[in-house]
Amino acid sequence: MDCPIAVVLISREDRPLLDVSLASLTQEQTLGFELIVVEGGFSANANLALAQCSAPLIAFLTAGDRIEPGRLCGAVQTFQSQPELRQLHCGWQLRDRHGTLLTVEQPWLQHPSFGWSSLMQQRLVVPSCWTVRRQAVLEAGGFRPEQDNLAPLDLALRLAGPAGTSAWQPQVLVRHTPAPQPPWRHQLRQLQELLEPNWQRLPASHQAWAAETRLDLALEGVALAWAAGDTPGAIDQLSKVPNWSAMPLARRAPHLLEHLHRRYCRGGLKWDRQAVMETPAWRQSVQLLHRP
Amino acid sequence: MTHPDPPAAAQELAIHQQACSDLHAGRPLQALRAWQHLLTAEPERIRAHLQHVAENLDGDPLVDTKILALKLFDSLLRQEPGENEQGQLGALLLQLGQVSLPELPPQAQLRFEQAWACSRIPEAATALAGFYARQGLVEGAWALGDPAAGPALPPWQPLPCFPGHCQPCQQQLATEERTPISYTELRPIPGGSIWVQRHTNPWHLSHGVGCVDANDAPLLPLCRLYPWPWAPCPHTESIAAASLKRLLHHRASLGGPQRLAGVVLAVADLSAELYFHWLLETLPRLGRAWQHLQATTTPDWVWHNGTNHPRTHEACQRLGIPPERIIHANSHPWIQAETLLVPPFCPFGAADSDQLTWLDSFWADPALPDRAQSPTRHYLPRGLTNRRALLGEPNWIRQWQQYWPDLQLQASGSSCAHQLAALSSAELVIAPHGGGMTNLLTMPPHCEVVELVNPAYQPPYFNSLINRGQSRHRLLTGLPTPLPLQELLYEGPSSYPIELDRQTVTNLALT
Repeated sequence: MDCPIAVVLISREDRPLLDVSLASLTQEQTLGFELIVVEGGFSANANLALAQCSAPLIAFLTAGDRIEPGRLCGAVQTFQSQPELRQLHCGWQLRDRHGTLLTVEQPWLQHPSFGWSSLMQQRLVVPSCWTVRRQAVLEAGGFRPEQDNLAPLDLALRLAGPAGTSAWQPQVLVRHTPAPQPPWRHQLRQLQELLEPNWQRLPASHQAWAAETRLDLALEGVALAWAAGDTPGAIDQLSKVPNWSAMPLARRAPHLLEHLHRRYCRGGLKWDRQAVMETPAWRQSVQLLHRP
Repeated sequence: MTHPDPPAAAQELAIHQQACSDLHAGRPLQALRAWQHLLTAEPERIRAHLQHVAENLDGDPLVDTKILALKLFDSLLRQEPGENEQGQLGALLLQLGQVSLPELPPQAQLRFEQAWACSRIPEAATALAGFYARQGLVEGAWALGDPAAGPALPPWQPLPCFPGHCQPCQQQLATEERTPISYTELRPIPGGSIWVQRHTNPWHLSHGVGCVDANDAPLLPLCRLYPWPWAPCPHTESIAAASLKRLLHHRASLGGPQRLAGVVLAVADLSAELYFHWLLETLPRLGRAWQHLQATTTPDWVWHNGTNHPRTHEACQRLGIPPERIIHANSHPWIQAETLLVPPFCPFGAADSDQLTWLDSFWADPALPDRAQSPTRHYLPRGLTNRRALLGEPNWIRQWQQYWPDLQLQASGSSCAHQLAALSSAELVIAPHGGGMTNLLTMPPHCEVVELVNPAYQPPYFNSLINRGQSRHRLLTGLPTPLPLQELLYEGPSSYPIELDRQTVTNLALT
């Protein structure tokens, strides 16, 4: 059967989670699709799955996530109407492992264009929201297993080309539950190692933007530590930020608080702004942030 | 004073940019010290600017802001900056932010950030919380305060270009042939309404015009708002769509429309309160539509924003519009008509040959004063003004009169017809860039025009007048306005005074 799209289901070796995702796929009744189940995550066998499938489009689905009806159909229609398109990303509901809704993420509200610069700023690809053109992925060299958890972000950055090659699918079509994350220092180091070569490739005229996004990543590091319960680590991270000049003084504390909120939500943690702002760690952070 | 050499100018710019960075990063004292260094390098020149601003405070809608700035600069010329000056700077930046907020939110945000960096001003914090929440920091904004507690923010979205300052569009404007606009194609809009946005800026100039039908559906070709693109701009449609949201937002604060029975001819346009836009853009639009309608239905009302100025009366009288049929947009900024007639807009800031030809015939009347036959030389004084004055104007006039004893000064109080007639025999016209140059409409072919400009502001508004007479056009560029004054004293490049140096003036007389 010539299917327009293949679903690559990334399993975490947890049968109940797999069942949840498979059940959601059965709701996509208007479209035939190939299904390939990959054991072991992106770093292991995702490239093998790409080689196996024959459909021109590939939608990913992480075991435990659910797609809403229309997720695949909508993607196929968009790709068919935009021949230059290489990748498409929709919005998602973030739910904890009990299914409770934490937040609804519509990234196009903050970054109207999906592409290289929004990926550098947002630093997140939710595989279950992501559809790619297989040929473009193969031409880009596929996933790089050494990127581990960041392999999708790494590939998305390489796929992002001129205008029209990446787009939002501006609907919330996935219920996403984040997987357990590695230690925050490891995550931060991985992100820095992935993004630094991208920043370095930028021409001099874009270095101010690079400085701003570097600073933003530093704040994300602080938030990663904080959300992991390591507030001393967060303060230490904050005190090591080398150069604040890219961000106006007034914007620094709001930026950090926003990062904390997102990180709490993405980690499935309960967010209480008032409580966070009353902690000694927050007061200490604000002192550091407001150092001229 | 002479023009700074390029390395010195680059050094000044670097110092100024560092001062701005310091201010942004919360080091206001360092910023003040840097600006003090620049100011004290040429104190006499700075004092001339301060004196000019002080002399023009009467009637300046930004008088409070200007007084704060004058005090700050006076302090910086006298002493090392300290906490007092830091507080003054914060208060000044807050006011500058508040002035920019309705029409230029990004500029307002920058000013509030600077003000907050100076002295943690609570009003700046609440305003910034609103800005940041709108930019996606919905939770983070609470670090500064309740995002809903600050002033209401107008809608704003990034534009695809920087209209009005676009060099390629300005260059294309000078060369391209344009299709003449038919001002007589007047489609009646039953129950239509139209408004001007002049309440959102302290100068009460019309910075927007919006028009909707009886169902409140926008009529996009009849709407425009600053910043408005030049005619060749490829982004005009998307800019218009973005402008519409802001126009509708600001309309809400006008209350409701004045309802008018009968037929209303509505011709309000951007900045038509100013002589240039009134004479070259609004008048031909009004006149041609009015004359065309005489053959069918004479409108019951004419609604325009040319103010109550005598020159407006003069033109309306010549058109034969009874004064009792005129409704001024300054007192009735929003009207709804039983039947609304709105002629198409003319290209902004660049009158086409069709408009100019109509104006020629409109003013060419035997009733006009006799036009002088022998060649004459003219200076068009800018006078006392807080927008683009010529610094030291009386001295320069005396000097020019030494070179050209017959140099005539155009009297601003005389009628429009007299002013236009006076230039009809000119062989030389010297004028600071400004509304007075509109009178070049009647200058004879091959007249020499010397336009005095500030290097930061020389838009091609008068090119169509100059080019059609194959005039010899010379731009006499003054000194760049000192950077700290650009930053904190003047509201923008269109206000920077023109500051000539003696050598340039001497060269003008010798050539």
